[in-house]
Amino acid sequence: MRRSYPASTGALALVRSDFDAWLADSGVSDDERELAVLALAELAANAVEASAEADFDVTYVRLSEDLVELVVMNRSDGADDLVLPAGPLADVFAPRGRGLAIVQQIAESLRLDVTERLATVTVQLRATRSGTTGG
Amino acid sequence: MEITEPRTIAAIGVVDAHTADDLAKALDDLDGTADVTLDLAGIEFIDSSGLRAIVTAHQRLDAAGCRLHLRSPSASMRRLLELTGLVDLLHIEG
Repeated sequence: MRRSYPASTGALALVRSDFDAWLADSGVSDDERELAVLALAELAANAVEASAEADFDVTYVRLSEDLVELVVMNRSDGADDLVLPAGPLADVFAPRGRGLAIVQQIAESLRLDVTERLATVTVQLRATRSGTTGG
Repeated sequence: MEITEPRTIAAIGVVDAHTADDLAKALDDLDGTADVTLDLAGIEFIDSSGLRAIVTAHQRLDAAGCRLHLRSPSASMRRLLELTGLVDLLHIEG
């Protein structure tokens, strides 16, 4: 599933609901959906902040019965300050960086690729399939 | 946001990057002369943007010798506070 969204905070609710519906369609439990949607929410908010006026792309695919991969990609002007926290939650009162630290806590894996033009975050999230209605 | 009684704010609905400024402003409008209670029972979703508003208010009130009390966080919000390590540092009730 690949979708583009406008780089507007007003689009974040739709980003979350689209992903939540996709997870629900494959019977993922409320607990796992909640955490997975939170991870996407944080990544999408970062993408909105970094994207200026360009759209950003969200892709998700099921890797296995219990894992999905989520890719969030936004255009970058090379000045993107997206960096992994040095340590998880090293400073809980820090004004920024909490979003990626949250994703780091939730995700099975997290990878950042930042080039002069694109910032791409790839995470694998636990989202156990239950039932066979979708995927 | 609804100010339901003196020094108490009830946050309702979604607190994300689109709406967190509303919460931040509501908290910022209360001066640091007494404790503030933030009722979280009505929050459906909150992310790090919302936490930033809460942490900023917590620090401002703390510096003024007052407390920000967080009342009735949902199970999911409590989990978010645990994930971020804030659960033991903020003043949570209920």
